[in-house]
Amino acid sequence: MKNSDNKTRKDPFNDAEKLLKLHAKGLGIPAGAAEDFIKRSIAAAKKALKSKTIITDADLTRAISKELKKYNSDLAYIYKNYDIII
Amino acid sequence: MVIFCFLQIPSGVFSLFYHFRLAKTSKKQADDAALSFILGVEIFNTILWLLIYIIIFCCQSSFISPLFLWLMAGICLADAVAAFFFYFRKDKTSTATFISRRIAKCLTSRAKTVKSRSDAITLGFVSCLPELLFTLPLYITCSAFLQDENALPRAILIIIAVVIAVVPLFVIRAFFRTDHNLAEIQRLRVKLKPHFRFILLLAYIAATITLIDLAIINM
Repeated sequence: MKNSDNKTRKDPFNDAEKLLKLHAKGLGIPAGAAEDFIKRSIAAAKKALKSKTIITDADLTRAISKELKKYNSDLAYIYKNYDIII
Repeated sequence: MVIFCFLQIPSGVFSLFYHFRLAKTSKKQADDAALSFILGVEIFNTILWLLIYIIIFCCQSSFISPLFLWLMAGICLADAVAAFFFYFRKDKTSTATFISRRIAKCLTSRAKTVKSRSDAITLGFVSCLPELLFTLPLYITCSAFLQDENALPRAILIIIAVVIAVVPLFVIRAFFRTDHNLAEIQRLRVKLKPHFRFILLLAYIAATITLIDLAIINM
């Protein structure tokens, strides 16, 4: 994705996916299963946030963890709360 | 000594660190890195104990005067109030502490990116720094009282104090080694949070009462 200054903007959904894969590995979730439900959760979150013009970090976290809860509650919990552990 | 066990910043950093190490390396390597982290915490505690002990020793005159005791009692009472009301943030679903979010984010990102053993030791060392507000009065008071002890009991007490500080980290390490994950550990920490607050309050109040008692006797 590029903006008007021709600089590449980071896709927040890609960053979220990388972080989720890391958390899934740390939690001991099998890689294949984790990748499957992470992709589904992110796709569902993208759909849910489509109508919003500005997406904050909190919106992103909330949307993804809501979808992720259906597949793995531990991963959803850690994704939502890992930056308020300390 | 009990107070050191219930302070949560090193435990939080350690949990995150172990979780990210498990994600990036094997179980054995994660465990080795965890021991390096614990060594960092031990180094911090040992250096602080010895430094304060030496400073007090070099002051030549007796530190345990009524003024010193009243001062430390006042500080312990302030710490008791701060530990109960301000140590943990208001959010009931997390174990977020009083440190600024920027520092917390910095510690979290360091826990995620640490690779070598020396980095793990440094992270363990640095994770103890934010809690100096709560631990420094205890180090000073205990070091002052240790001046009056003989060499062997003094050494034993310092070793016990240094070891007790890392007991929670070994407990968390045992949880990870028995296939519990960060989510389970974190849920347990959130569940025990009100108990930690209460125990910290009681421990600081006990320290305050002991110091006031000694101040009155010494007057």
